[in-house]
Amino acid sequence: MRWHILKTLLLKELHRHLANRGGIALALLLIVAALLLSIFGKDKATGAGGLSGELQVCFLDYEEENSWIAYLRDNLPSGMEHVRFRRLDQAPQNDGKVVYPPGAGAIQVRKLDSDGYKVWMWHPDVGGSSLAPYEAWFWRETQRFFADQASTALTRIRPLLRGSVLLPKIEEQRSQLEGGMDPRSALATSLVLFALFFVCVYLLPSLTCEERERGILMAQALSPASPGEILIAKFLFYPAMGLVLAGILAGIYSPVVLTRPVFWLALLASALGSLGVGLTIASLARTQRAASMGSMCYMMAVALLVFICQQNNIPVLPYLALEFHCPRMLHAALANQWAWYHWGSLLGVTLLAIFWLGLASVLFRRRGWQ
Amino acid sequence: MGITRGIIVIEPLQPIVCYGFQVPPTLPAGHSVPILTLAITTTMEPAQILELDGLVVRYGAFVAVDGLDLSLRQGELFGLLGPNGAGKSSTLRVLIGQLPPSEGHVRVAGQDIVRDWAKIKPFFGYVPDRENHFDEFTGRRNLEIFAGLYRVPDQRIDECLEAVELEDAAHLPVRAYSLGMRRKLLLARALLHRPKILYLDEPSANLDIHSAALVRRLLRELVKEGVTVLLTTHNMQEVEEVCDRVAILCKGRLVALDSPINLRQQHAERRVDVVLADGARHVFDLDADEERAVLARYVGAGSVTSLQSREFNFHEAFLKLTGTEFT
Repeated sequence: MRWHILKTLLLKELHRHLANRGGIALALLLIVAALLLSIFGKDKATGAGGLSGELQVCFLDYEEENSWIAYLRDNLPSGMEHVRFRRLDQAPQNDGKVVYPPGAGAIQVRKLDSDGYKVWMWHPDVGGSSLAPYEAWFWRETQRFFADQASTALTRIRPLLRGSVLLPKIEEQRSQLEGGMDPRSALATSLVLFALFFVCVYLLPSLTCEERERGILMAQALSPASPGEILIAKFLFYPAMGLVLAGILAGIYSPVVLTRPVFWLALLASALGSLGVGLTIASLARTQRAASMGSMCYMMAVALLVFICQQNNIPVLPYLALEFHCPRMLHAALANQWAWYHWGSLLGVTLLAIFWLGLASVLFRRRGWQ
Repeated sequence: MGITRGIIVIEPLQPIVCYGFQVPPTLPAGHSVPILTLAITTTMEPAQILELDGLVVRYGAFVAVDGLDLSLRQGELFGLLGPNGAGKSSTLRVLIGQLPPSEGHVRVAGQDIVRDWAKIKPFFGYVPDRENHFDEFTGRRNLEIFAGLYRVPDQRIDECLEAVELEDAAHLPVRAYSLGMRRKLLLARALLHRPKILYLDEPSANLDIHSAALVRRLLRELVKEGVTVLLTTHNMQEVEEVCDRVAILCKGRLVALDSPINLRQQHAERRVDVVLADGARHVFDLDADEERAVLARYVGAGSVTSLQSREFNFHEAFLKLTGTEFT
């Protein structure tokens, strides 16, 4: 390994990227996104299992004001400031249908023709999970109200029944499961991962294949630089660039993250893994266009595969993808929720990185410089 | 008068071998001792710098080069010609290490091209037929990269730019260069490390007359400095002007190997196209006595309105050797 050759090749890569305005623009865009996230992003967790969109406002629309509605109004817990009580006839309507603004949900309490009420839930998302907290509060307080009503009525009929437990006392406690994603750390994880994958899985094969297509790779191969030195320069440059950009984005999210060794371990392992994927694509693709398409297809295909496997509880397959382990690992490091099982993810990423790098080396030598 | 003893002053131009001469023992009366000045030209055989020994190149079942034997001397300008598909590119690909020989051996300065490839690499420079620069960099930056790889000083970059007359455009990005300028930059890059052998693939392609002449002049200067140049070209004029020797390939085989002049003379046909007064056209072979006599009669009778000699030039010798008859 000759230092002057490595230095020349590394400088060459640096100058190529400085001359690539598109890449610089995208890097700046990512940094701006991280800055916006750090200023405006919400920390409020939405619970384990995934991101749910929060409602901006929940309307409780009723046809008539009564003690039930008054009870609900008086028993709004803290954190439910977004609930708005109003009469149905005061709600904006269009062709007889109530119109709700985007990001709103609603609970309508209507009177039935016969005795009784119809409770109609309106939620903006498919599963209704965004309305879930409000729904839970509504039914809990409704149950309490009517239980009190029943108890009072029974006591009037039979004073002896005073104090009888018609319904057991239920104490409620709420806790958040570990591993839950708050929107801010989830977005930060996405930005960091995107930076790594963009540099190593997209830029590297694209620019390497451009060199191959133009014959520049061959010209370098005819110079005193050995194939190993040319590859090593790429091995060093692209992960370093990915690490720097990812580090900047993570640092904007939370500067203290940069002092955590597990964060750098997780980032390094992810960078090496994505480098291996990128070099494999570079070895297989013959043209720059094929490399770009290959990178995009890889990222989309693997992301879809992991998603489908998770949704359908398909075992084993997700563990074979970097895109399964890296987000878990990086999020845990960013959100300071590193647990013992994340070491397993780190090991998985390391093994996958070794696999991809080995495959890339074999393919690169076999396919040659043209 | 016989040769006498004398004093020989030898003025060497190149590595020398002295010619000895014998003199009779007696000096005729009246003759003084002659002083003979001899200018001795090199008679030592230059080193064989490139040897192709039974080179065979196959792409599957297709044989692109079939048993090619060639030796290039140091300081020789060698042309490799042939129609499309003759095997020139395949030969060049072997020489620049892109393709291993299917059979045979290639030695560069005595070193095997397969076994000793790493040692051979700094020995040669290569100018491809297609330009391969970093378009986003300036001409100078492109050369700086390769100067860094070859570890040559920056001063050499200036020398090479000056040699190809690109010093004024060195600060411009290569994407602003014309095709001819890009080709000249390729040549400058190939010369950075002062190679002993230079391979050029169509060196004059896309060059204007001035630039093509510049390149040819540069090649001749390099050859004088002892660099061996092997070029492939379709430009017959270039071959005749610059090449010391030419190899003509056809369907992977060597069909001719000699200087352009010798090849022309070997394949020349002395014929004359004549148009008579009555419009009849005839061809007379000047080497045939009868036909010469007939031609002389026509000329003497004033019946000839047009007479044109048909000496083969190198282009026609090439066509004849590669199977396309000239009519």
